[in-house]
Amino acid sequence: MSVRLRLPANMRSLASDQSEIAIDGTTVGECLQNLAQQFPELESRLLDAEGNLQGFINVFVDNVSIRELRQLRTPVSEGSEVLIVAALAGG
Amino acid sequence: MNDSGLTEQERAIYQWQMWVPDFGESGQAKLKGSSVLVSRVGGVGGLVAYQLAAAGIGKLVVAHAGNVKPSDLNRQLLMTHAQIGKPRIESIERRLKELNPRLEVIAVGENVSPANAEDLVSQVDLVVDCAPLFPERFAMNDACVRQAKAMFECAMYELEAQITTLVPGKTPCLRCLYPEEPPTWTREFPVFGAVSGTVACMAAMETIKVIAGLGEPLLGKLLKFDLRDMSFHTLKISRRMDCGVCGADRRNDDRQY
Ligand SMILES: [Zn+2]
Repeated sequence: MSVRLRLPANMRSLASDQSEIAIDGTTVGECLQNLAQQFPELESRLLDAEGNLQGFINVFVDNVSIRELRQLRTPVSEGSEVLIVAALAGG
Repeated sequence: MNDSGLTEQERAIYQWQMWVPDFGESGQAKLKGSSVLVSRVGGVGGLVAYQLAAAGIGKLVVAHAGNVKPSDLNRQLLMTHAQIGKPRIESIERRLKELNPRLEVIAVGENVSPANAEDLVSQVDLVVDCAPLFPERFAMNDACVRQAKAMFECAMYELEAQITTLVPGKTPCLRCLYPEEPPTWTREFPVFGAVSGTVACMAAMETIKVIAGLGEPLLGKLLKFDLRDMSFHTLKISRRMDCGVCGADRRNDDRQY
């Protein structure tokens, strides 16, 4: 299963300047783990020490927050768009 | 002066926007009778304040500390070259009054903090959050929740921006969206004025919509866009019942507000 994972602008430098990455996984959690394996510096930006989503990150699968679904256990399907939204404060 | 409380001069100045059928003179009168806090008043807030001044808002409370620096001038459009080294708030007040001398401006030469947020928010009907640091944003959010006032949340980074309209009791608050601040956020960030200005104009329009009861504001929706590839996402967001600020269940909350 391959999804389109979209990174926020402030994380792209940690992922070879890519904004969109094809990632394998059957759940959002798996996709994030696979992403972190490829780009280790992203791990602490996304997940805390216990493997939970950081409190300053929201993840959406096809525009629905995973908080409304099954959190990191939310299943993804082929071609799903996984959007990572970071807290921003530029004013 | 006519029934709506608008002067002949105001009717002439706002004629073209009063042609918007569900806005009209009554919408204009509502703007005239409304007050908004904008802080800070830089790349985003400067444009929010300028658009609201242009549209005929009655009163603006603007808060921004410090002196104008050369590096402000690529985006902080209320600052002028001649004002470099002098207080930003003077430039902000002067530019707003040049555009709209009828506008009541309360100019505060300091940034929002937990110490002054409650007082600043109490002076207005609505708040537009344009601060570059999370503690300032959280201070305005917390005061807005306590005083049950809507806050327009707009932020950007690089070519990306986000905006949503927060209404206490109805939509998530900022802490529902982000219970924690990102430790990697820094005071200085990459920015084009055209990006901060884009999200600012959207926030000004959201403010006008909520005041005049026009259209559909971004309630429970986060609009996220990236001008690098012009991708726009409208994302559904919801309250956290365990939110430490607005949550229904605050029994286990030991934080101080
Ligand atoms: Zn909340």
